[in-house]
Amino acid sequence: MRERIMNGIGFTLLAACFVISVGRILIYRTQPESTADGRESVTIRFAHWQLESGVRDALTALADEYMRLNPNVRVIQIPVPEKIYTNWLITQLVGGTPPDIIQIGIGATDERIARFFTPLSDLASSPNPYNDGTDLEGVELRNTLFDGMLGGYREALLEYYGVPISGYSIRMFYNLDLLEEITGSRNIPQTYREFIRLCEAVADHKLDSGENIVAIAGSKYNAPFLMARLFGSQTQKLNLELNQPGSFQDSVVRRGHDYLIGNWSLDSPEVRSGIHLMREVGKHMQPGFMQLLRDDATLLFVQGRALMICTGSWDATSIRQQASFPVGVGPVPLPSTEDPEFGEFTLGGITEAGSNAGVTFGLTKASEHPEVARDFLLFLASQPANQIWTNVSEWIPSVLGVEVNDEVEPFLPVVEGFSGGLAIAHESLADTARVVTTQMHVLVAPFGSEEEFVESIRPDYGPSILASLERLARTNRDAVRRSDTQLGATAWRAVNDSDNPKRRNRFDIVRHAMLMNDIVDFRHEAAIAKEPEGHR
Amino acid sequence: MTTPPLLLPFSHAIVWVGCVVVGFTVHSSFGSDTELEPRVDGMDAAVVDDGPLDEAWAMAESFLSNDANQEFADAVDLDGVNDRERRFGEAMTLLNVQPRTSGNIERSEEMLEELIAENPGDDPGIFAQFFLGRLHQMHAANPDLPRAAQIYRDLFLNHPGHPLAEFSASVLALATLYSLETTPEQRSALFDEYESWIPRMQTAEGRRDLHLILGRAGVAFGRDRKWIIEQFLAADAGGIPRRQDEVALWTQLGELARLEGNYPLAREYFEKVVKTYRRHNNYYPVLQLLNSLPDPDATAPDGQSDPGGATL
Repeated sequence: MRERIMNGIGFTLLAACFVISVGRILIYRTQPESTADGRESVTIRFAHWQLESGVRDALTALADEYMRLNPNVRVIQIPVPEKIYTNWLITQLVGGTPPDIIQIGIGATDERIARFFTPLSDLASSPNPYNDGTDLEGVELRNTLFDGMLGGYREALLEYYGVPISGYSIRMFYNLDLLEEITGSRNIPQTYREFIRLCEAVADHKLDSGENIVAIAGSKYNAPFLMARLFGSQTQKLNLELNQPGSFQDSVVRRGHDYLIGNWSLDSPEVRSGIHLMREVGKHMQPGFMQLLRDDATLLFVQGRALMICTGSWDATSIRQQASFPVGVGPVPLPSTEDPEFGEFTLGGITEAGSNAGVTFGLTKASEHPEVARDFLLFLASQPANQIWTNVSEWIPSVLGVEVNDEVEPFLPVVEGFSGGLAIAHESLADTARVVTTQMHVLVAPFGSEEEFVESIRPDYGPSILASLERLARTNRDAVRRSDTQLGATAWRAVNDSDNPKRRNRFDIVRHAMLMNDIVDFRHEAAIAKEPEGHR
Repeated sequence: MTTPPLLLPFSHAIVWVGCVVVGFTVHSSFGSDTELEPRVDGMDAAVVDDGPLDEAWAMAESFLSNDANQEFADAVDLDGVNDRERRFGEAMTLLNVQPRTSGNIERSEEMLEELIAENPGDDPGIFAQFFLGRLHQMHAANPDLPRAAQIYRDLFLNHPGHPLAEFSASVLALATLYSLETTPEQRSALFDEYESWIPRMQTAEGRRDLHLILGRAGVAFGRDRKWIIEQFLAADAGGIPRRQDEVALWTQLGELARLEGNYPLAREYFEKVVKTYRRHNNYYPVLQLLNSLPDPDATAPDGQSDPGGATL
């Protein structure tokens, strides 16, 4: 009897707890949180993979500033490691639990973007209210960014899906203390000749002092930044000669095809000059650098055992924070047209004008507060916010008119110059890149040679180009086929709603894109069909 | 070990409270009204909904072929659906349903041919012909370009003024001019034939596209420079819809004009590039070419043109 009473009391307590809990849940769901001034409080979350030093601080500063301007909004930052970003992204999107705003890039295929993200084209074509009172007041958002907001445009989907807030560039970083110790000055080399003399001075210093130092910290991540630019400087004129009139860009497919039909070879003087230049610089990196990782090279530099490292502006803050010495930054030194040894084949500097902005944030369709999230995106892309971004992160701003400090100034894109020439190992030609990379040690080893390097890659070079082009052709054909569905849909909607200018415009863009893609498809077909004997 | 009777109700209550708290936490963390598969409803905010199949068309426009195909298939019993439109949508999206199978391609072919047989002259019939051409050109396991070309040709000749039929002329021109099977003699004849089609075209977009394809193919296969310039000028007059293609065309037009000794035209197009595309890779090279041009009103001496090749 007593046990039954006790159980009854227990169940009554239980029922009371349950009712209270349900009541609280209902209250929580139906009554929005309020701020001190009684306004509704909302929380938005944004995720990114930029774990570099300074970036999280900058994003925190931006979130804080936004919350100061909008006291009813709470902004939460979710940093996700790059290595797991794709898996995290897919899980969040498919699971229906993504943050309101996500950095677009890694793992963001066109299909995922179309399915899970909201187009922002209306934002792109409207003035940004957060620019009111600045010189960008009343200007369409896309025209306030240095790349025309192309960093957020998805060409296949014909929509803007992201707002980019930063730029980037590749530069040489210098240990200024070591530079002064070796040369007696902190002056960074401005020409290729000064640069190569500095490399030789480091080698002499190493012999004289016995210090275990190298001129350039290399790795399979860093070295290609430098090697590709050096080689590309020597093939700029060759590229123009091979191109159709009025075409200045390098085309991987055209150049691969050109190799296969004999328009250039590993014995072309421009190519030999590029290889020679790579050896001249490569031998000043530490032995075995192509087996080392990004972190190995960074460690070598920040420990003061390398005078220079070539990497992206995104590493600047991390390097400065880890290094115990002042860090200088300068352009990647390329031979000028007057260079006595390497001037013959170059057009001079390589332009960075075509680079798009990055650190692009998109709005998820699952956002519970899309209007607030859109407003936060507008804030991020405003001139005042971008000023905070560059001040704190020391990354390049994406918004026009933002002032940069002395640390950021050397990273600003160089507009003058021509496109780089054809590459000896373009990343799109994966098989060819592998052939060249695996034999790079033959080129840069103390007892290696250009001739030995060329002969070591020659047997596999042509077949690797052909194999890579065949793979590219298959990939391109798949893309062309996929686009047919889009063409059919846009054409149908345009034809059946011919008074709607937006639909007509979309069809116009899609049909034009399809024709251009079909031309590329035929170019691929021609490239892999016209190979000379011996390449299969 | 047994629970003392006095503590039993409290242990029950604690377990329940725990469950409720956990449930509350999980519920409030993830929210209750997020959709697992968000609808593709943000594609075209400015466009009004225009029918029961609009959702399916929006999906297809976003490359979501599997979803769109399912929508079209499921709409078979919906009220107010135009069945020929629905069947065309289903057949067209079937071409890209993943994984791609020969069975899907064959089924698509059957459906498209049925639509054409029923009525080749309405929109579903005309669209079906175009995509039957694409099927034989791009999607079939064994592409059949001559058959595709015949379909495009018939489509253009039989349906003057229809936007997709006029577009098929450019697709046909591109496919046949660039084909590796086409001999130089055949190509020369095709250039002439396609050029003769342009005056009869009724849409500005159709004329622009065909001019552009003829010009591009003309550059690729070494046609007369003046003729290429004419094609490109006509294409440019129609407005190039993508900026990257516009800057490429303007640059190429300027350079062809420079090589031809038509310096005023070269200057006009180089200046358009420099003024409009300051952040483009072409900006600096074009600026150099512009600065290298002789006085604005000068022409090449004795009417001589540059033999070709970039001279930067």
